[in-house]
Amino acid sequence: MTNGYIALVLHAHLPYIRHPQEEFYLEERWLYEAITETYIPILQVLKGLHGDGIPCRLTMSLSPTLVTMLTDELLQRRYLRHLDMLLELGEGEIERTAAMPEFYDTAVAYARILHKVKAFYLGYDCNIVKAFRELQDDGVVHVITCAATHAFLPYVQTQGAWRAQIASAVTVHETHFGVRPQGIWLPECGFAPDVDQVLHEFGIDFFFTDTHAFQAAQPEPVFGTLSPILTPAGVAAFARDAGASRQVWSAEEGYPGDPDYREFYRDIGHDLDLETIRPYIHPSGIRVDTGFKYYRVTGAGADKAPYRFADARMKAAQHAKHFLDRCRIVIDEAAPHMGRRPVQVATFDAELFGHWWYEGPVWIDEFFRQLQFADGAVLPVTPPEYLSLYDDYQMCDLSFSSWGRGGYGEVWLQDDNDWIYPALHAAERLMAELADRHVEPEPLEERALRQAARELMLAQSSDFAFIMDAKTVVEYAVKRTQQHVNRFMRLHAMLTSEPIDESWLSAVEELDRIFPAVDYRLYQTKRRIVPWAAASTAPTRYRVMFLSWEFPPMTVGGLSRHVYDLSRFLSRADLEVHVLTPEVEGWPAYEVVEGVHVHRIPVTRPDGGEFVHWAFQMNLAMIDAGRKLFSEGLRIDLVHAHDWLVSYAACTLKNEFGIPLVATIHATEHGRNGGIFTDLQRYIHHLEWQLTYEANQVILCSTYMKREVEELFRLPPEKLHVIANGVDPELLRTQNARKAGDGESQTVLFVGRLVREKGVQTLIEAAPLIVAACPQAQIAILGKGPEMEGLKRQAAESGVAESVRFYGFVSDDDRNALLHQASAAVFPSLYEPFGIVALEAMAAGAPVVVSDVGGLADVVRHEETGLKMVPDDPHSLATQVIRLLQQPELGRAYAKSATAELVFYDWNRIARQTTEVYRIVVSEGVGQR
Amino acid sequence: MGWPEDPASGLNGTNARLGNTELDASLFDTSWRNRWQIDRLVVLVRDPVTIFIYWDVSDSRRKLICEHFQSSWASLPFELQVFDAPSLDANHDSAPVRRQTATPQQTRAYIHELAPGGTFIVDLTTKTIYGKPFTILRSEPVFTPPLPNPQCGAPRALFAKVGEQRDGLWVHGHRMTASVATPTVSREDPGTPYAEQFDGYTVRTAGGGAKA
Repeated sequence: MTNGYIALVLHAHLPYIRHPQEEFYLEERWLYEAITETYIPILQVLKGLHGDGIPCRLTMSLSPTLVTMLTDELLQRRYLRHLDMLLELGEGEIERTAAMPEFYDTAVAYARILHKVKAFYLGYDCNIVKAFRELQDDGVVHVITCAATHAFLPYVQTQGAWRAQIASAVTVHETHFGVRPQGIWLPECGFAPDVDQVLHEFGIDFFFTDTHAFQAAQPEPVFGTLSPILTPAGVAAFARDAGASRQVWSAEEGYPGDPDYREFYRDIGHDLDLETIRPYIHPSGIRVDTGFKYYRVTGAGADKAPYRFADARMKAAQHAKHFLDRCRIVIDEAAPHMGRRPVQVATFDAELFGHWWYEGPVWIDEFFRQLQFADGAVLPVTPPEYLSLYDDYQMCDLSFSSWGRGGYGEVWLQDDNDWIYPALHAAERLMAELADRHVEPEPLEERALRQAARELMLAQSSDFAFIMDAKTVVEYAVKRTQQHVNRFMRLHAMLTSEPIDESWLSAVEELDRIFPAVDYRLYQTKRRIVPWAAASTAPTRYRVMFLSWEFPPMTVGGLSRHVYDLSRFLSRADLEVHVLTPEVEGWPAYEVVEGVHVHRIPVTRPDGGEFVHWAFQMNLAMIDAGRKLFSEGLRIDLVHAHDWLVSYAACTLKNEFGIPLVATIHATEHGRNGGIFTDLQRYIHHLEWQLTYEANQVILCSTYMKREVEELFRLPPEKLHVIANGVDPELLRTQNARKAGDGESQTVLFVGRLVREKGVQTLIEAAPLIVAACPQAQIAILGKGPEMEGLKRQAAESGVAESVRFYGFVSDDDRNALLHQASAAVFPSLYEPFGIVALEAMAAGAPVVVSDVGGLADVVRHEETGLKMVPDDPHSLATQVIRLLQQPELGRAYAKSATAELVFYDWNRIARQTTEVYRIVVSEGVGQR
Repeated sequence: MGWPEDPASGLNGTNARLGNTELDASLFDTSWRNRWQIDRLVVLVRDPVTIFIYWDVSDSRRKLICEHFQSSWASLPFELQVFDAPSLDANHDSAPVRRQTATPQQTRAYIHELAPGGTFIVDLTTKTIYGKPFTILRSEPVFTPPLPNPQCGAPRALFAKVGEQRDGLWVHGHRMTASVATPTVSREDPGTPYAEQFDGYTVRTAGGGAKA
C-alpha cells in the first residue's frame, strides 16, 4: 500500500557564457565540464533506468540559458574540441599510469567513460537537449523551465521585467520541448509576493520554495512541507524538505564527504608538472580542472588514498538506501495524520551530481532502482502527478524567501554586489519606456529593441551577483554586468537620441545570441490602467497641462474658480486640459470634470511644517506627476501655470521636456504688500519673477496688472497679454432668488476672503454711517479668513454688531441667493488685481460698489455699471452704499447696464483669447521632448 | 569590492575580432554610472530584519532643493527615516520608527534590526532651519518577511482547485492600493493646507522666511 511519495528535483543551470570573439575562453569550460560530468552521465542513468523498465519520475529544470548554450552550434563545436582534448589526455594518462597500479585502472576507466560520453554526444548530433526531450516524451523525466537568465526575481523591480523573464523562458521551453512548461524553478528559489501572478499569467502551475517559506506562510500550512500549497494566484508551491536536502548538501552529514568518494580538489590539472599538463589547460597557462582525479576523500588531512570505482559505487548504493529509509520514516509518521498521502520534495542543483559529487549519478540510479524494488509504500512522483491526486490544496500567502545563505537575499545583496541594482533598475525603467514608445517599430528599430531586452536580461543574471559574493571569478562577473548594462544603454541611446548603428547592432547580436524570439513588448506598462488614456485619443486643437495649487473643491481665493472655469471652457473649445492640483481628502486622484482631466496629487509629508515648504513639496510632487504622465504616454503642447505657487514645477517641466510655458499672474507679492519688505516676500517675489521670466507668454487679468508686472519684472510688452477673468452666469443662478427690496430689510453684501487686502474693515467702519442713514440695512459678510475675529470685534466696538452678520463659508447656492437679493454688493479692496467676485455680483444682478483700484477700476464704470469709492475711505463707501439703498431704481439701472457688459467677460470669449496665446507659443516651434 | 567609480573610459577588448571583423571597443565598455538622474529611493529587503536603500537625486531636483533651502547640497543635513507604513497611512504625521543620518555624498545604506513581518516606507529627508523634517524622496512600501515559526497558532485552512484564484484570503502586509472615490459634488468646505499661514493672498510664517 502506498503511504506517500517522493519527488526528486534537479535544477540544471549555467549562466550564458559564449564568447565567439575568443577561441579559448576560460569560463566556457564550465559548460564543457558540466556536459561531461553531469548532464550526459545523468542522461545515461535515465536512459539505463528506462531501458530496464524502472519507473523513473525525475523532475528536472533546464534553464533557458543552459538550453540555449547546449543547442548553440559554436559551443557544440568547441565542446567536441574539448572532448577530443580530454580523450587525448585520457590516452596519455593510461600511458603515464601504466606503471602505477593504484591509478592505472582509474585512468583506463576515465578513458572508457569519455569515449561513452563522446558516443552519446554524437548520438544526439551534439545536441543533448534532444536527449532530454526524448526522455520527456517517454515519461522518464518531467522537464520544467527557469527564469530566462536566472534573474533573482525578488530584486527585479518591475512587473514587465518579471514578465519578460518568465515569458522568454516559456518560449524557449516550447521551442525545444514542444510543450508549455507546467512548472518552473524560480532562480535560487527566490520568491517575492506577486511573482505568482506572473507565473499564472504564463500558464505555470507550480514552483518550488525553500522549507522556511512554508514555515512563515500565512496561514500556516496545515500539512507543513509535506503537501504543496496554493498561492492566491492559484499556483502550487512545493517546499523542499530540509532533512532530505541536508543529507546531500551538508558538509558534515552529507553523503559527498564520504571517505570512499572521489576527492574533487585533487585534479591532475593542478597536480602534474606544468609542461606535462600544459596542452590540456588554458593556453595562457592557467591551470584548470581536467576531470582526471585519482584520489578519494579519505579523511580531513592532506594525505589521500587512491580512488576505487567499485568501493565508491557500493557506497552510493548504501547512501541511496539510507536516503530512502529516512524518507520512509517521515512519510510513515505523517501519513496517518494528514488524511492524504504526503510528498517529500528533495531538490538539488543538478551540477552537484557528477561534477562536484562524482558518484551522484550512480546515487540517482540506485535511488530509483531501490524504490522500484521496495514494498511500494513510497513511490516516486512528479509535481503534476501529485497535484492530480487531490481536488484541492490549502491556499496560503508566501513572503520573500530564497534558498541562499540565510534564507533570503544576503547572497545577492551585500557590499560586494549591491552596486549593480541602481543600474539594473534604471535599465528596467528605460526598457519599459522604450517598449511603450515603440508600438510599431521599423524593422531595424525592432532588432535594437529585442537586443536591448536581451542585454537587460543578461545583466540580470543572478550568477554574477552570486560570483561577486562567492569571490571566485569576481572580475569576470563584474565585467559581464558592466558590459551588458553598457550595451543596453548604447542601444537605448540609438533608440532615443542617436541613429541606429547597424554594424554595431549586428556585432552585439552575434556576441549575445540568445532568445531569438524575445518579445520586447513584454516590458510595456499596462496602459489599460491609465485612466486618461481612453479619453485622450480624441482629436484636439491643443493639449494643455494646467498647474494650479487650488481647484474645486479646494477653493481658497478666486484662483480655484478661475482655473475651473477656464479649463472647462477650453475643453468645450476642443482643447484637452489636464489639471495637476494637490489632492483633497475624499476626492478622487483622477476624474474628468466637464471634460477636464483633473489629477489630484498627494503631497508628501513631512513637509517642513510651513506653508512655503508645503508649496515646495507640492511642486516636487507635480514634477513627479508630470514625469509619470509623460512616461505613460501623455503628450502635451504646453504647460499653463497659475501664480508663483507652481513656479518650480512649471519651470522644471518646461526645461526638462522642452514644453512651452504660459503663465498667468493673478496677483503679485509686491502689490499685495505694497512693496517687498521681508525675506519671505523676497522669496515669493523671486519665484514670480522666475515664472514670468521662464514663461514664453504671460497672461494678466487687467491692464493694471499688466503695468505692475511689466514694471516689477522688466518684461517685454510683447510677451504680456491682458485677458480679463470671466463669469459664467449659469453658475450664479439660484432657485431661491428674491428681488432686492422685496422684503423689509436691505442687504449690503460682501463676498470674499477676510483678509486685510479685501478692505472689509473699511466696510465695518462705514457700517454706523450706513445704518444711521438706512436703519433697515443689514450687512452680510460671506467668507472666512484670518481677520474674522478682529472684524467681529470691530463691529461690536462700533456698536453695529446686530447689523453685521458673519456667515463664514457658504455654499455656492446660498451665496447666489444672497447676491440675487442684495441691495448692494460692496468690494472695498485695497489691492485687487481683478476682482472676480464683483463681476459675479454683477452677473447675479446685484448693484455694486467697488474700490477704485486695480482690476476693479476696469470692471466698473462709475455711475454706469456701478459705483466707485475711494479705497480705504469709509465715508466714501458709506456715501455710495447709501445712494443705492435710498434709490433702489438707481441700483437696478446700474445692474441692468452691468449685465449688458458681461459679454466682455464671457468665458467662451476668454477661452478664445487664451487659445490665441497658446497658438503663439506653439507656433514658436518648441515641442515636447 | 566597493562601488565602482565612474571611470573616464572603461573600454577594453579593443583587439577583439569576430571572424575577420574587428569589433568596436564600445562593445566591451566596462565603465559604470553610479548616478542615473532619476529621482528615486528604492528599498530592497535583504532579510526579515534588514533593508537596503539606495537613492538618486537628479541634478535638477538638487538644484531646486538648494534654491528653496538656500543652501549648497553639501551643507544640507540629511537623514533616512523609516516609517511603519500602516501608521503613516493612518496619520501622516506619525513618527519614524528609525532614523539614520546620511551624508550628502552617500547614495546607499543598510538599516538593520527592523521588525520582521513589517511594512515600511523610507524617506530621505532634510531639515528646515527650525529643525522640521522635509521629505526629499520617498520609497514604495516594502514588506519584511515574518520569521519562520513552525509553532505558530491555530491554522486557518482554505482549500481550492489548481488554477483557481481567490482574492482577500490574506493580506500579506500592507497594500498601498489607491482608493478612487466616486466623484461627487461636495458642498462642504474641504479645508486647505496650512490655512493659518496662507490665506490665498499672503503667506504668514512664524519665521517670516523661507530659509531652511
